[in-house]
Amino acid sequence: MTALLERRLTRTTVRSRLEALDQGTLVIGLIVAMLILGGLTTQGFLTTGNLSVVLRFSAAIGVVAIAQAFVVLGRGVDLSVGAMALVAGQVTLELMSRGWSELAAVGAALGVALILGLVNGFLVAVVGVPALLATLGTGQLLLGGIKVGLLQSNLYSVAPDAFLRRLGMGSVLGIPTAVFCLLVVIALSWFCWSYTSFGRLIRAIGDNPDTAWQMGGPMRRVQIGSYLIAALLSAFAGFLIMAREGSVTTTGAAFSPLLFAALTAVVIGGVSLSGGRGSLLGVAAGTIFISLIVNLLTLNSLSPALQDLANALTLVVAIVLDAWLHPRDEETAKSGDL
Amino acid sequence: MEAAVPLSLAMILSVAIVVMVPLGINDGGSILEEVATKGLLAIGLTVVLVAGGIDLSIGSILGVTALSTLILDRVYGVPMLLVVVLAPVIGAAFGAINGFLIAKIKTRPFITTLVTLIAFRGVAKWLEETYSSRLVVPSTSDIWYFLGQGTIVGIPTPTALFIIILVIAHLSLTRSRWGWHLTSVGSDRRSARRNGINVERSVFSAYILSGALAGFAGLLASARFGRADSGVGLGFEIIVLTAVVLGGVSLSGGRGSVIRAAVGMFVVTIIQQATIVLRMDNGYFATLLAIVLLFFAVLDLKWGTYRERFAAKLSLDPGMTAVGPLIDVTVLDTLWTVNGRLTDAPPIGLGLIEGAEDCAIDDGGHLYCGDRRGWIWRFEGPDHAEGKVFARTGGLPLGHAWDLNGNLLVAVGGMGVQRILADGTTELVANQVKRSRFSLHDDSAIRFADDLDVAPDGSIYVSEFSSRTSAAEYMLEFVECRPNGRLIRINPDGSTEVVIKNYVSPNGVCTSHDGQSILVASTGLFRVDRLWISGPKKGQLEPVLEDLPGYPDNMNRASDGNYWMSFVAMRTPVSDLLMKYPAMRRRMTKELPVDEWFVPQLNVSCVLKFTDSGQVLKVLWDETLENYPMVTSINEHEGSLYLSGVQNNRLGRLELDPEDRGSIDTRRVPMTQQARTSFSEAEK
Amino acid sequence: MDTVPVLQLTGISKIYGQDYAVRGVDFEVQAGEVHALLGENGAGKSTLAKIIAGVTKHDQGTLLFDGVSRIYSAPVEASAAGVTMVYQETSLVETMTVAQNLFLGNEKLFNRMSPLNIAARGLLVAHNFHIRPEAVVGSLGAAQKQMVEIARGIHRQAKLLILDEPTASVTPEEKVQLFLSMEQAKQRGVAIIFITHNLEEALAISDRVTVLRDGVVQATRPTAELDRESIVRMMVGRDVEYMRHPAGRGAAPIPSLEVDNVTLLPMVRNMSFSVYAGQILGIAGLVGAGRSEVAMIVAGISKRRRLGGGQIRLDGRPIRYRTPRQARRDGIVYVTEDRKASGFFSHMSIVENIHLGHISAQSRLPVLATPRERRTVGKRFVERFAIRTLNPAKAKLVELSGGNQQKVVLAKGLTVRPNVVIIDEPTRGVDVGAIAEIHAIIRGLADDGVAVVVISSYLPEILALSDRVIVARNGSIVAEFDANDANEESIMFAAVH
Repeated sequence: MTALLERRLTRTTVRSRLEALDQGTLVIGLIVAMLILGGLTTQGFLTTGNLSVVLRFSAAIGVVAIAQAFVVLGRGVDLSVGAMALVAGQVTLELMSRGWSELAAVGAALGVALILGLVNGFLVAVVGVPALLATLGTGQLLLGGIKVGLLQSNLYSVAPDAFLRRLGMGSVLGIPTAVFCLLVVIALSWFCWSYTSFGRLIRAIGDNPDTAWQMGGPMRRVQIGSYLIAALLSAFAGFLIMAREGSVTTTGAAFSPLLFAALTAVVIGGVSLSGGRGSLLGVAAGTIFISLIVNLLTLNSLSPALQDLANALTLVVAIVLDAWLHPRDEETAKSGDL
Repeated sequence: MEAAVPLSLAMILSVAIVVMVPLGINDGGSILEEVATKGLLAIGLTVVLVAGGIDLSIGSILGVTALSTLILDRVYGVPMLLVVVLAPVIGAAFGAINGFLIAKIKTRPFITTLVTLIAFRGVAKWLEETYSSRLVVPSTSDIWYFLGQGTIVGIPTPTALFIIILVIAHLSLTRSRWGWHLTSVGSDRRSARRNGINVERSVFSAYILSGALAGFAGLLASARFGRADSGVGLGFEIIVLTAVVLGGVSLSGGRGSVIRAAVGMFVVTIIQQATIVLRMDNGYFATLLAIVLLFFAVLDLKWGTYRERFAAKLSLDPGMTAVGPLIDVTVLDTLWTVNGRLTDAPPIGLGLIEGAEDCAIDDGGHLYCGDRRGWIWRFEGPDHAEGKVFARTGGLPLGHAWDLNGNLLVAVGGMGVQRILADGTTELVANQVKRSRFSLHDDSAIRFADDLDVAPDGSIYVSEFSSRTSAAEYMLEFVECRPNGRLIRINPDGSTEVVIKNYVSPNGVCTSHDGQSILVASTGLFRVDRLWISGPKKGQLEPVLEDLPGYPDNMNRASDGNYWMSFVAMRTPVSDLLMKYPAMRRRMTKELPVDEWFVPQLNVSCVLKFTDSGQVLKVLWDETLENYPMVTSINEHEGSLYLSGVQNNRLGRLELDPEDRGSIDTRRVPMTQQARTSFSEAEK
Repeated sequence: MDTVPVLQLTGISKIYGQDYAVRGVDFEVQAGEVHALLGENGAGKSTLAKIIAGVTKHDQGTLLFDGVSRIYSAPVEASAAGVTMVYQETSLVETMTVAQNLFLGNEKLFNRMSPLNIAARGLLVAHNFHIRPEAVVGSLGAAQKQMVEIARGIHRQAKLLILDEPTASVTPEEKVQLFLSMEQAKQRGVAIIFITHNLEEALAISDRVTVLRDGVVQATRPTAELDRESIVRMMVGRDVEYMRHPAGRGAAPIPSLEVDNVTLLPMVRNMSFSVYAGQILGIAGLVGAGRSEVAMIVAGISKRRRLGGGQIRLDGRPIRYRTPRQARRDGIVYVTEDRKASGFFSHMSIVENIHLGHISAQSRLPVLATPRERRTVGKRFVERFAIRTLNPAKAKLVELSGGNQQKVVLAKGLTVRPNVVIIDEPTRGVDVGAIAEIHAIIRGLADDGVAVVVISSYLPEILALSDRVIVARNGSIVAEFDANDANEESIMFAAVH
């Protein structure tokens, strides 16, 4: 009889070992494997130039992924991050084209982010609309509303002398500015997650909202705060993208590739969609992982269609892994838990 | 019903748009076409949502199948009929990928279908890259034309097909085993599992169906345009999701109707067409869509909490009644004056029975009575000292009568009419009537059978106190006082028919001594009417007694050619006043617990005897209310009166005054040679 | 009994986490027998029932049903074999109507609604349950749901019917009908497992009785050989009897918390009681009597939107909380009965759990929450509550024993300076050794001048802890005893009649 209990307690399966491992570490292992494999098979992959391109590319994705992680950690999801990033660029450039100063335009864009974050937080935390639906709606509303109400042109370019341009080009302490920005965001977020009450409470809400509520945690404030941070970080990522691309278009779908990449990075990085679990290391590793994949596919000159497919397949593997590592119990599974 | 408010708001919105925007008759055509294609997606999405999931990949599946059908036809020359079959199969195959991941691997539906949205779009792009140059060949098949531009009985093919699929989907979702399983899985996985439902299979089937419908929609789309590219169906998921939420389909699973989703789709398409007609930037449509989505998501949430209270408000609607003059029974020395004639009737079954509403005596002098626990007691004649439970009907046994074969008929509240045979077994006589047409309320059940009697031709007349409330909620009927009751005839062949509709709380039923008419007592309106069932006035209703001082209950024939009747309650000036103020009564039911409601005085024991012409001969009371606090029925048998009461713990047996004794056998159905196979004999 | 039993369990064990829920259970049921399964809360009755019904899989032992050895992976297999279970927490589908629920699982391929409603009404009314078959289950009260569940279970015509606490929320009159229906089913040869906490019911209806304690079968005997006392002895028979703690410094003269005619239908009706600082008030009563509900109203957890009236006063000041946060700021602490669902954060360590309680209790949320602070706060409470684990900063809550979990939940709540502490089922699912410690903690609170309320379904616990006992029934307080005058019989009488 006790033998049975012993067996149950000391049982080690592949799954339990993987579960114990931080998913970030796992992904870093995968990244190393991919670097080796890519270096062997693909010309020009393992060069400093290419790897710096990869890092630059991952900067914006990383920031949006962290924005998403703030919300996902608290058992929410923010589908408006892609729209916010796009709109931040649009608003800034439109206002600058109307003669606003660069600082004022950026301020206005951040103001838009502030409003979006508050509205998202209000709908989810106070009204109780499912996060998926609320943020899908606000993202769509933001895209459409800004386009209809503000924009006058179809394509905006960043002036070469603008400060924003330097975000994309220059370097700080020998690190590309964009990457430096990502590192700063990671550092700040790490501080927030580990050293502030706010960060602890987000994780608590994600772990068990009922407990957090009954414990007397300021649920609404914390949830609204997480959506606010997500929106502001997304706007910042928008500036990074704008700086990298040098231009901003006005066409965008609600499910933009950026949102998609951010969600992927978060899920691959081990931030569980059921909340309460995840680390920044994982998110960072996830970001680099998907950037490497995109880079490899491009270097091997796959068509966009096949790139989409390969991308999606990676994500399928990630979510299957997530489902396998954190299975949902049939007896306790809630319906409507999307 | 539950989504009435969100849906009506949506309809108002669309009417407003139609009025404000110059939408012409041509727009009607394109709106219908759009609705037919996207409506199929809406049906699929509704099914998935009801099953507790979500499917964002429908737009991409549509795009893939639209391309695939063209490729099959133009490039590989597959016979068109086969293509028509293959389109949903291809869609279902893609749906199966979703289903496999979500149902078997148990990934999260939202993120999974978001991924497959990209993946399937990738497939579409790849197909386009590979085949686009070879798709320019014009179509040769008539079937393409039929699917795109043809008509079925005057209706455009896509619309006709959509309506057919919609009806089938609706019936399947609400009525079929599959739909039930799906709903239960979506509403509560644990309960579904415990009820022996295969959760995985149900979820899987929902995604397959959603995929198949998207595939069929893809076929219609490519038939309509005669061409397709990888951009077909782009962004449809948000449009369809908005439409479905607008139609009141719940995102938390288990609740939703495809018809309402289709209406939502209609509204969204009208908005879209309006922006097209006004030549507005597509940003406007996106913005409007988002606003509508958010607004209705919030509305669904908030309306959900108030829905029940709102429904409760609708369910009770007290009526206003004009009341006639009230006879004051406290005035001394009148016919009606309160007396103590019933007080000392010796009890039967004291402490055994609980609430016998009516009783019946067989040839052997044995007494049978119901009990509100759903039993029929039998007390051995002639002294009725010993009793035992003779039969179990369940429900609330109310009125009793003997049928032509000498079996006992019992009106059972909640169950209809049952027949009790000599050995104590019960059989169902009837528990339903034909549902009345054009009635939202399902009135096919005999919900609250109260009293019954047998006509000379063997048919049974049953009063149904209310076709809305159940026997346990009789107080509501007192408060509402609306014509909810019916008189139902059960023919000897077992068929049923409503003979009086919309009657205010019919209660006592009694065949007249001449067998030509049926007397019906209306409790709520304190009157007795006569329904002619033969003779020159057949089918007519005429009053016998009006403005009684109490609320009449059961009626039975007396041996001297008159009738006995009991009052279940007495009118008071306050209750009369309340009859005039329905709003007051409604408020009372909201704010007071049921035992504090103002209702007619219920604790009363008053019986009276009246003639065929409506003259009251005699009134008996138990003024102490100690022994017989409520008399609901009075039966005369061989010189005794038997008092029963639905809240008493006993029956009473009162010796009849000599002047009341007559020669008529009160058990016998008038004008018949009723079989006299006695219960007691058969039993021995 | 020499016939082949319908169900035979041999050596059945089931492990949850680190504990045996049931251990080496031998159990059998004959056709046409009502077999009562008795035991305290957490004795393993429901687990055993769920194993038999195929809801959970047993880890060890054999399960013979109809003479065939079975291992179910889903309830559908058990129900196909002929097992029907009436669940305590009901297994109805909330968005479907009563009629649909009654026939769900053996519905036809295509169902027309009106005949179904008529049949459903007959089915319900046959048990004297007056519920509209067209009503959506979600709109029904707890008792009505229980009725639908019972009606369905009996209607299914199974070979083995398991009734898990079916009488917890039905009226005596409905109970009579239920027992009649059970009697009829028995005569048809149905085997019935009847799980209850009410000994009188078990003695009245069952043929045999099996008593479980701590997951182990104590005895299986014919009912005729047993009486109340012998069953209680088998059920309770703990190694540690509850020690009656001596009352401390005694109650303050004015009440800390007064609950005055609070109503929140349908569970709480005109509930009134007061709690004094320095005193432990025990609230006894059946499950569903409104005890936990009123506690949740006090603690701001239940929304009082539909409040029917009444007032709650804290130190004479009327209070009305909209969130638990406001209540905790005023020093009102509620310790939940459902530890797993809302007691702790399962993916976090002991220290993190306690620390979260610490920060969220502050009236102004501190900006910083350093790991160092976390360790100090954690250490203080780990020591104070004697939480025993190797590494309190690493050990996750799910991995702890019930007693340690409960201590963490208490510690998490008591990180504020409390005025009123309401503890719901303080020792449910707690190992024997930890019970005394938890009781000592509770007594210590009262001695420190805190007003303490203990809600427990287990009467010896109420008697051991309380200075004053009140009894709830049907949402109202129906009796009050001084601890010295109270005994199990008088409390039970008040709770039931």
